[in-house]
Amino acid sequence: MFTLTRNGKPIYLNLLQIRLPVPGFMSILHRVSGAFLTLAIPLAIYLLELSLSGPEGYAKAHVLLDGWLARLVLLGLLWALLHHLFAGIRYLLLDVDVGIDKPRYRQSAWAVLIAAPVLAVLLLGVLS
Amino acid sequence: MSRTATGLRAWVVQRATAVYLGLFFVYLLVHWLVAPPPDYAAWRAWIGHPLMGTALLLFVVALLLHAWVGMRDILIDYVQPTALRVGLLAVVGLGLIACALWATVVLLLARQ
Repeated sequence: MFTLTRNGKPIYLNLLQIRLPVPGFMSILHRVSGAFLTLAIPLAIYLLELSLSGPEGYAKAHVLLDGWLARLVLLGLLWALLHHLFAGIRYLLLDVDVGIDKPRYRQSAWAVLIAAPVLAVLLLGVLS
Repeated sequence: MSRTATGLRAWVVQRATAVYLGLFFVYLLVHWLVAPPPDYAAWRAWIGHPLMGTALLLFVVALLLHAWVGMRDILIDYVQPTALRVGLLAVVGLGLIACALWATVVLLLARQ
């Protein structure tokens, strides 16, 4: 089942039933990562406030970021940030007609999908 | 801009803010990799620097706009019942405004 627009065209957005090509899959993850990052905004502000409140708050922020659960969340957020950044750069390039032809836009979608998790793991290793 | 052009405006806002957010995040990541602040004093000095403070306030505005346009697109595409859609849009909108105010207060207090 799908809904119709006002002029009778079908809108079909059920992601569980659509078989997406790679650029489409990357695009959905661009949205997922964006929503994920939006939800992290209050968390980031809380940590910023805590870390700037004084030496004790700064130490407490470090402790909060040190557990395995925090590391897991950080890894997820780092992936989301990198995926969103790379996919965003890809879109900006497509806007100015760079990489818009057939093998290229598919290859760049693969590049984004692979680079984001790999770099997220590397960065978390270096940063922590 | 006319009402019919709001889609174009959102499109332009999304891309303009994206460029600033992207550049700023790369700066943050590189700075953190090359010279992570060793202690509280250094952290405070970095964030409290007038130039950094201004860049961060601009970042807060850009992030608010960017997150709003993106979340609005997602909710309009995937939440069909009008009441639920309007409710969620209000929650996200007010939540983002609250976050922007909160972040602004935090940054102004950190100024040196």
